[in-house]
Amino acid sequence: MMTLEQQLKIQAYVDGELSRAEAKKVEALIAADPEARGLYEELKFAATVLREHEPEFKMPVSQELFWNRIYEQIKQSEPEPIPVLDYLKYLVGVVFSRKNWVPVTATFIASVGIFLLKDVIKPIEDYLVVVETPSDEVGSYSFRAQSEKMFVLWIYNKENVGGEGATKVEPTNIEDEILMQ
Amino acid sequence: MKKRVFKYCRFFQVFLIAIALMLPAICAKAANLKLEIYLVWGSNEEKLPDPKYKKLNEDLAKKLQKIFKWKHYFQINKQNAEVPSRATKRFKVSDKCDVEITEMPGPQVEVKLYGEGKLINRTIKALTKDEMLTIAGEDKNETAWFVIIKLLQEN
Repeated sequence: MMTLEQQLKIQAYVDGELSRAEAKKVEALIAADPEARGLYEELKFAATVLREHEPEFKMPVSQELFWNRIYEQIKQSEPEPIPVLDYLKYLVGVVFSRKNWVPVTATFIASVGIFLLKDVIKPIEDYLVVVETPSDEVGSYSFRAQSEKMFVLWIYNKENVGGEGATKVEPTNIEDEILMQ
Repeated sequence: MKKRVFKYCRFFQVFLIAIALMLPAICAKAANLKLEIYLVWGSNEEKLPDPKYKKLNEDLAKKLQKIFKWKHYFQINKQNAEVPSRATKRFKVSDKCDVEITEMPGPQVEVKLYGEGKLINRTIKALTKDEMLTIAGEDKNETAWFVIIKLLQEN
């Protein structure tokens, strides 16, 4: 016959309220005593049924609370505004920090390099040429005389099938030009 | 949150600072053009075709001699021209010939050549101090005309 204290211990065991040492004692009792095992099974079943079938009560959500929640969610997702002065201080810190000396120096060298080379390296537009000869009577062809640093546009009369022999140099670099005639 | 925003943007910020510093230099490309426009006559005869013409300066004549078959070059007209940034100006190079020049974005110009008021040719190309633009054509009696545009200065 189980005592009241033993019954309460089994109840506490089912609810997960016992220490490890006490739980071991209760487990030993359940294993040894069929009456204790029966009570344990009964209490465990009752606890499971209550946990799974307990009706959930939902608090009514007021409109104010609803909009407050949305407002809080939006506020959380937005980054904190940074004061301009703080940001500038931070930028100066980034540029002059010892940790960033490699990217900062590389960017500085690249910037100076681009600035110095922009007049040395010819941009692609320097090589592109658009030529239009709207008249039906005249045609044109163009070429670069590299050695004389001259771009020549030769206009000829179509009736004379012309221009051949006018120049000493071969029309070169014609392929890198856009010609619309 | 503040720290996280800073951390992820670090390299991008350094890059932006560099671009911001370079921007004035990059944008300073729009310029007024100072040009020289020549109208030149090419011939195989040494004699001046018209007493008003004069011999072309030696440097330019030598350049033309190396490119074209004519032996002698005479300057009919030479004018200093100025084309403001993004503007168009028309210059009279002879009684029959006009040149219209437009300063365009980048180092490019649009050059329109008019003969007796009629558009003969339109060319768009970069005009640099390193390269002259010559529009030329053959004329009667084995002669030729040359309109040479030379960039003197951009400012």
